This record gives sequence, structure tokens and C-alpha cells, in this order.
Amino acid sequence: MNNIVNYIKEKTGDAPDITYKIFPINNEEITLVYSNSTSDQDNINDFILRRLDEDKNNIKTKDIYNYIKNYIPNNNIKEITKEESLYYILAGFTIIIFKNNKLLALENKAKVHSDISNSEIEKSIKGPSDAFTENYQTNTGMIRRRIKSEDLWIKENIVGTKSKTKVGIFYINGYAKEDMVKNIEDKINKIDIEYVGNSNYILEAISNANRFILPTHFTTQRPDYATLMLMQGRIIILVENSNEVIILPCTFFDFFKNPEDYYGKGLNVTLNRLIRIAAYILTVFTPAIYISLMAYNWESLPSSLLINFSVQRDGVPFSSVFEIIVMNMFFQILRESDLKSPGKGGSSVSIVGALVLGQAAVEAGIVSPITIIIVGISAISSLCFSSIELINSTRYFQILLIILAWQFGFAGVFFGALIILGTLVSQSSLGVPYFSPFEPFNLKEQEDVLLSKKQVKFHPLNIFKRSER
Amino acid sequence: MKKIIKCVTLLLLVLSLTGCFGYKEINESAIVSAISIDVNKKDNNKYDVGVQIMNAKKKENSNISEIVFYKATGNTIYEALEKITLDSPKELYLGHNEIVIIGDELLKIKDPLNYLDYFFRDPRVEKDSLILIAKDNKAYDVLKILTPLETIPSHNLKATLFTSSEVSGVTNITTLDEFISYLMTTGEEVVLPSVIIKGSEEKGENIENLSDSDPNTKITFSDLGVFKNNILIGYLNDEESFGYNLVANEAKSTYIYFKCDENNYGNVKVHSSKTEEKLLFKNNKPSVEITNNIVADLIEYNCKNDLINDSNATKEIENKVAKRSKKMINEILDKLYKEYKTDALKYGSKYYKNKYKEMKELNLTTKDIKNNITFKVKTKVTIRSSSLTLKSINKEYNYEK
Repeated sequence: MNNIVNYIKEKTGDAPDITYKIFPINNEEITLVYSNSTSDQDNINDFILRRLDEDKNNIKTKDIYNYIKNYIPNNNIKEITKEESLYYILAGFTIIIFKNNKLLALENKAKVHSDISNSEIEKSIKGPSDAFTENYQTNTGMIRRRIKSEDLWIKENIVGTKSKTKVGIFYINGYAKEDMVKNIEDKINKIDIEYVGNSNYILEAISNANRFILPTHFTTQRPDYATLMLMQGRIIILVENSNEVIILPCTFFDFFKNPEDYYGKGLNVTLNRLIRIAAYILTVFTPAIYISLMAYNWESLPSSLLINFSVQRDGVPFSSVFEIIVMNMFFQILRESDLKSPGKGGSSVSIVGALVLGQAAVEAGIVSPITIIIVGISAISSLCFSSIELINSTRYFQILLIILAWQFGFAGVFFGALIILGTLVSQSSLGVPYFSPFEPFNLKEQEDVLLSKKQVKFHPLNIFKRSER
Repeated sequence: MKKIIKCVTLLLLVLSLTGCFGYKEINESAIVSAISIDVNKKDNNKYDVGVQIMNAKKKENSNISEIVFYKATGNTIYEALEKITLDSPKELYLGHNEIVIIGDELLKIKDPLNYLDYFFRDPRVEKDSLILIAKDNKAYDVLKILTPLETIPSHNLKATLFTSSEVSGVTNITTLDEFISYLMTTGEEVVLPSVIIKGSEEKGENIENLSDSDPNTKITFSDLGVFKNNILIGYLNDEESFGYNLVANEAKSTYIYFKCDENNYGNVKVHSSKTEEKLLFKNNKPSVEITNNIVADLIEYNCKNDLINDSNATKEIENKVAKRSKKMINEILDKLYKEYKTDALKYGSKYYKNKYKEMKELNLTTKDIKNNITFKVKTKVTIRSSSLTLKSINKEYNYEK
């Protein structure tokens, strides 16, 4: 018995938050070992110590080990080995060491996580507003509650040599491609990682498209959306201590969808999606098109607009390329500071600040007003999307197009558009073409992407079918 | 990876072939909105070229005129334009040129094909600009008149031309490329609208001209100029211009007045006018059957006839209008083919395109067609409605008495 205690003390460096409690019972002594920080003290007092205290003189059987194993009210009692004991102590279990060096682990996890609250990132106007928390068990529950079928299968692994984080792969048996699930599981098993900070760690480890600018996965905080994605045959990765779940595979047009879309009226949703697609195109192309109009392709402007632009640019010392790049950078800084500044009420203040600064810059004659409008259009359009990854990736495209427009005018913009389209079309995510269902062309799938049809809602289309050309 | 680099390099090289080099900001160029071409009789018949530049200065003081003028003389149009660049701080940009005004004197002595080549050759010049004749004045003077309704005079001219050709049917729109193609084609002659200055020229150049509610000086559209062998030989008055537009199918929406009793007139508004031509040969001579169909609404009727009770009244109006349109058409045909002997209605080229075989058999040239052509004119007018009332207000007034 003592050698196990010594073993634990040695391995943990005699951690101050681990308590060793010697409890005499039936002429025998057992030792309870638990961590003060990860286990629930009340639970230990109420259900283990009190019960043992009440019963210690009345136990008829001599076999305390079996008594505890069978009669202590605890839902998760495990026989463990000496080596495993470390993990269980730190995971919030109470370890009981018996005289004959047998070990039992009883679960008494403390609630060190936030309660179920609304999602901050994906705001909900319609539909359920609960969001994933940092607790793995709660998250699993939120999905299980929505799909009560036995077909919801979960594969669990423990990742991280130091963090020992639980990673669960959720999928619906029969819907998700079995070899893809296996593929992901193998990858997760092979991860050589010490500490898993967030779900993104796992993502980076299993994703093979790190060089691709656009994200090949997407994350959600909303269990209703995650469930819907499961129904489409997608695979969900749940990571302990992370309130985002990873959804795989993912196509480009998934970023134009919103959980809300599935609760709204189909016709309105179609319009919303078209607006989002237009917003994306505006974000990427507006600055470049403006530059080519200002420097090369004057004939494409009506003459009254041309003279208007010319008047606005009168007396501005910098070229329009410089203006656009500087103002765009200014906006990026503003966005970054807005996101990172403490206190989330800063957004309106900073927008007003930007306007005032923009106006002041125009009046001082440093930038032309039209530049502010162009940067504004591009910036506002980029705020249409909830995926930070997508917005961040558009900046590369913007810069690429701006440089091409600066050197070659419209011809350059079209060339850049071709490059972008090429990168989109050539990628795939878990075998699903990234630009599907438009490339390869699949009219029926497009009903789910552009329109939101009733049939598609009632019987979700399987994402893996898209890969069949 | 190597393949990708190769591809991208190749595509970048292709891009360099587009010739899209030369990054240049808008405000580094002077946007020309109108060009005038005159002959300089004192200086060896060189060309006086004037440009109207849209002033791209920020308007802190609204009294600054929106346009600036430059003028230079040269042996060719391009030489003159290059000389203007010496005066102007910015390079001229002709891609948004709206109007080319050519002086009456120049058109009367020289074929435009001898000096318009630059406009046709340079890709940076707008081919869609309108061509006008400055009838009584120098083209440059017309250019310089500031106009009240639109800040930029060339906009004003363009807008007026479009409205008047649509509403009155007496002017005719010809763009630069059309003009040059008419000049180049045998068997076609051009008809161009002309402008004149009403009032004093000097006052029109001042900004004060804009502050008057009734400006002293205005530019108005005048008669259509007729060309023969690419030389301007005369003008058509309003009535003749209208006749020309009727035959040429260019009269879209216009009005025709008619006399309904001794002192009073009525008016019909043309809803649609369609002219059909049959190109025939009679006695080995070209003969054209022109059938003009007008559908019109009665828009003004100042006589005492009752249109309800008198069933013949409408018919009578129709006949009167038809007669008038026939007269107008006959007059213009006479004027063009007998007096001026010019093929402004382009029958030479029409015969050449449609009746080439017969022309070959009869051994006729387009010139023969122009000289020997005869016409047979039929007109028909249908009055569709009489608008709000069937009676004349004159008649109702009489009832009350």
C-alpha cells in the first residue's frame, strides 16, 4: 500500500493538491487518494466518506474490496493498475488503495467548466440557442439528446502525452464513409503532441492541406447545426476542453450557409445565400476592380462618373493603389484591435472612430473619398461571415488581385480570378471536391447550396455522394 | 510544383502581351469632352483644332467654369493635339470624347476622309462620339459657349440632340464611326445635323451667361447638312429634314400639323412611322416605291368639327395628314435627287446590295442609279385615338351658347 502512495508522490512531485486520506475500516486500513482541484469534495464527503463511516462497524463481510466495489453509490467504479492511477487521480477520480495493493477508481469529477450558454460567435435569432461548453460529457449529451438513434457512433481516443485530452469522433453509422472515419481515427492515434489547447490542434494534425489558403474544415459552437451536419453524413470531432466542434468534410459553399438557414422560409434563405455570395465576391474583387478602373480601364466608366472620380482624386498626393493598401491595412488593424480589446462593447465605437478618421483623412486631402467608400464596401462585405478563417483567407486574394490590377488592369484581375478559381476547384476535403456541387456539377446538390428546399431539409443529402463524379 | 511555376510564369508572360502597361491615375489626364475642327484660311488651310476639357478641379468656389478650352493649329489633327499638350499640364485623353464639331467652311472645301484618319486609327479615341456641323460660326466658337442646363456643354449638346431626334424628328444622329463608314462607301452620302449660336458669342463664353435665367447666348440645332461627293453642298430646312427622317425611317416620335379650316390648325402626334421601300426597275431605270405608314394620335384640334357625329371627320384628318406627309416626302426627294443630285438616302448602295444582278445586266453603276432614279410615293395615316375627348372644345363652347 505504501509503495503505491510513494509511487504517486514520486511521480507527481508530492503535489500539494493531492490528498492522501487513511481510513480505518474493519481492522483494515484503506487509503483514499484524490485531487482537491479536479474532484468534487462534496461528492467525496457525501457518498464515499459518510457511507464508509456509517458502515464501518456493521460490515459483515470481510472482503472490503468487494464491498466497496459493489455497494458504494458511484456510477463509475473501475479496477485500475498502479500506472493508470496517475491519470485517474488527475482526471478527477478518487483512488482507493487496499491492503493487497488492489486499486479502485471512483468518479468524482468537479464541474470546472462554464454552464451551457448562448453562442457568442454564431448568434441565433431563430432556433435553439444552446451552445457547446468546455465539458466533453455535456457536449456529448447535447448531441445525443438530438439524435436518440443507436446509429450515432462515437470513437474515443486520448491524445496528448501531457494533456491526455479526450477526442471523440462522432458519426452516424451508415451515413458517414467508414474508411474516412478510420482514416481520421488513424491520424488521431498517430498524433505526436504534448498538449491539446483547442480543437484546432487536432485539426492541424489531421489536415493535410495546411498550405491551402482557405479552410478545409469548419467549426461550430451550435449543437443543432452539428447534429444537422451529422445527418448529412459528415464526421464531427469533439475535443475535451474545447467549445467548438470540428466538422469534416467541408466544401467552399458551406461557409455561405448558416444554422438559421434551415429554420427560415426557403425563398428568403435563397436570397440570403445569394447576398452572402455577392458579399464574398465584393470583398475579394472591389479594391482590385477600383484600381483597374482608376488606372487603366477608363473607357468602362460613364463619362460623368469618370469626371467625378477625377475631381475626387484631384490634389490627393498618393496613387490609388497606395491609398487602397494603406486604408485596407488600417481597417485590418481596426478589426484586430476591436476583437482583442477587453470589453466587447467596442465595436460600435470603433466603427464610428473609423468613420471619423476616414472623414478627417478625406478632408485633410490625404485620401480620396471614393477610396474610403471602396474599402468600406469591401470591409462591410467581409463581415457577413461568421467564419473567422474564411475572412482571414480573403486578404491573400485581395492583395493578389490588387497587385495584378496595379500592374495589368482588368486583364490582371481576370487572371487573378482564374488563379483563385483554380485553387478552389483543385482542392478537396476528405475526398469531397472543395467546389462541389458546382465542380463537379450536380444539380440536385445545388438545391441544398443555393436554395433551401423542403425535401433537402427533411432528407438531408449525403455529402460523400458528391465525390462520385 | 515545378509545373505550377512554369504555368504561372507562362501566364504572366502572356499578360505582358496585353499591352496594359503604363499605370496612370485618372487625375493625371485631361478628359476631353468635345473637339472642334476648323480650317485656318489665313495659315495655308491648316487645321485649327480646339478641345473642350472637363475641369477636374475640386469645386471650392462654384464660379469656376467646369470646362477649359485649348486650341492649336497644325497640318494634321494629331499635330494640333500634340501642340495642345504643350499648353496643358495634363495629357489629353480622348477616350470619353462626346462630340466632334466640324466647321462649315472646312466641310465645304475638303473631304473629311482627308483629316479624320487619326480618329479612326488611334484605339484610344472614342468612336461613338457624335458629329455636328457648326453652320454659321467657327466650330471652336460653338464649343466655347457655356450652357445653363448641363454644366458641361458637350453633355448639353448630346442630350439636346438625343431628345430632339426622338421628339421632333428633325435632327439626325450620326456617330463618328458611322460617319466615316458612310464617307468611305460608294453610293452613300451623309446627312449631318448642324448647330448655330443664338445671341452674342462673347457673352456666351463668360460664366455670367449661366447665371441668367434667360441666357443671352444659346446653342441650338439647326438644319441638316447635305453632302455630295463627301463635300457639304447645302442644308435642309426643318420641313425637309422631317421629310428626310420619314423616308429614312428615323422619325420615331414626332408631330405633324394640318390645316382644318381657314385659320385653324390641328396636330397629330406620330406614334409610329414605318417606311417600306421596293427597289424596282422600270424601263431599265431604277424606280423606288416608297410606302409610308403612320399611326398617330390626335393631340390638338382647334376646329369646330364634331368627331363623333361626323364619321368622315377622322378620315378627313387622316387624308390631310397623309397628303402633307406625301408632300414632304416628295419635296425632299426632289430636293436631294433633282436639285442637289446627291444620294443622301443611300439608294445607290441599297441597289448595289439588293439588286446587284439586275444592275450588272443593265450595266448600271451606283452613279447611274443616283441620276436616273424615279420615285412613287404612297402614304397612309391611321389615327388611333383622339385622346381624352372626341369633340373640339370649340364645339362644346357653342352648345352652351
